[in-house]
Amino acid sequence: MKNFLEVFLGILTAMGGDVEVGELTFALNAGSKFEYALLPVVLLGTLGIVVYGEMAGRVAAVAQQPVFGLMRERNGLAVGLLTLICALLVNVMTCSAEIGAVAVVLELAAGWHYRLCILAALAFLLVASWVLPFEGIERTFGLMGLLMTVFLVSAIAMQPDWGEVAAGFLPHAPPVRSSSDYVLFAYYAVALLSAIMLPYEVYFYSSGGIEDGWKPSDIKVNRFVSITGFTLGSLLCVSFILIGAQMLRPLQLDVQLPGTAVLAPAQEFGRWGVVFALTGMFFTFCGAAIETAFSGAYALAQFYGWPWGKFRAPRKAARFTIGWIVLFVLAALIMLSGVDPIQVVEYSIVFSVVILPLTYLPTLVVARDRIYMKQHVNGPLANALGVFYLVLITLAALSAIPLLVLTHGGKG
Amino acid sequence: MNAHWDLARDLLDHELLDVDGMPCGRVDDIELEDCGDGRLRITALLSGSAARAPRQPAIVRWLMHTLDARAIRRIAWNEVAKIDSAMHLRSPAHALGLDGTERRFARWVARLPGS
Repeated sequence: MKNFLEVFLGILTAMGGDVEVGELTFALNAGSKFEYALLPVVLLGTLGIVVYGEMAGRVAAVAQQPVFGLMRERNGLAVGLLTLICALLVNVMTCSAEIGAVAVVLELAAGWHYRLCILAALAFLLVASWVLPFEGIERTFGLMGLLMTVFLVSAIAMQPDWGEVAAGFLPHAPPVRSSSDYVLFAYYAVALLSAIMLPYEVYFYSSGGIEDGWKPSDIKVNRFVSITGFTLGSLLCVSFILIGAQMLRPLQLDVQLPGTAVLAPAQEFGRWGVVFALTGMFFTFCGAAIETAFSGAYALAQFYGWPWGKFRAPRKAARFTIGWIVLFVLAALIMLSGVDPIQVVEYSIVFSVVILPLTYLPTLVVARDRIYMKQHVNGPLANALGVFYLVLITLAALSAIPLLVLTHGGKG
Repeated sequence: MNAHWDLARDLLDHELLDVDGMPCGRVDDIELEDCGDGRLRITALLSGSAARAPRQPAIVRWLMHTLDARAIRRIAWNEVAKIDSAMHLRSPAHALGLDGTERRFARWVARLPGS
């Protein structure tokens, strides 16, 4: 019975903690601009993160080290250093976007001045990360993030044409007015894929496995939780596309800030819809901010061989602790400088896809290595899917910057 | 222990764990001795920013030179108790002088409540 509860909580936590502001923004806009044409990308991305999430979790359980910890010894100093620098830059950017999103939610909810909201968000994140143990962080932000299901319910309440939605999952040509819209469609496809398969998710999931003390006996449970959790999390992504298509498309509204998303639950459920949505977004975005800051700190400490982890007291993992504190502060400073949070979101997603191959290749390499994985090495299915997705994300990585330029920063 | 090692694959850049399992750096370089008959013997593992320097790109070397990063710590080969994916050492980190930087930062962190 206890095991069942653990698994159930694990799935809910994974589901509630899956969405971050980039995925929300791009999914809403995808629905608004291209109706259901990007639903196949959600399917594609979900399978990708399931495949690599499972691999990263398995590596942690068997090799008793997270993927990044094995990166430097497996790929050498130069590649490891390049990956570290890219990971740190992208994590700071993404963390910054999430903090900005939290601040926007606070501004909507409490009416405080935006900059004060950023400082409040920073203070909350620092205190929560310091005080809560790892499992406490996972559970709190994951479970409270489940309030985001109000968006799923809102999307259903809008009563879309379910036949059209189902057909949308089959790849089809997007409804476009001009040929330049095809380029914009390609940009959105790449961005949405990136938002679902963000690098920090793999790192955090792997280090989290060590924090949670996984052993080889936990592999089957981990597999079930990761498949179910990530899949259910993608249901939310689908909801945002549906909301974009149903509500924003007829109004020709662009998502300028995460607040636009709240219109849907507001319309369907009034005041309580807004309360659930804002609370859900607050915890989900805070959770994503924590994951990105910690991913950066994990990567730094593991690369240099410093003691790391929330399972150690802060003074026993001093440089790791200072690492995530500094990352939070840097991310907040970027937002305080007055940059447009939506711009930061956009760039963080685009640069994430550029470094996706750097993240995923080492994961695949280690998961295939019998010396580390013994009898739990990749089977033919994991290998085939792993290689398929590596090729796919490399193509996406190569096309991301050109598409960003061609679409004038995603404006078309 | 093995008679022969693939230095790059099995030793270099691997993690150092002290007797209590605490990470205390990575193998940044390896000290070898010429046995005189064409074979080389490992005498020590080296850890620290200066030990990494020759393998780093020029700009990183310049940066470290500017910051005057000269740390090299030497771990005698007989200090290594076991090798799997990490080097397990016989002694605690402070006995081997591997925890200096971590302790310096720990003094700062220890000032915060609940550390």
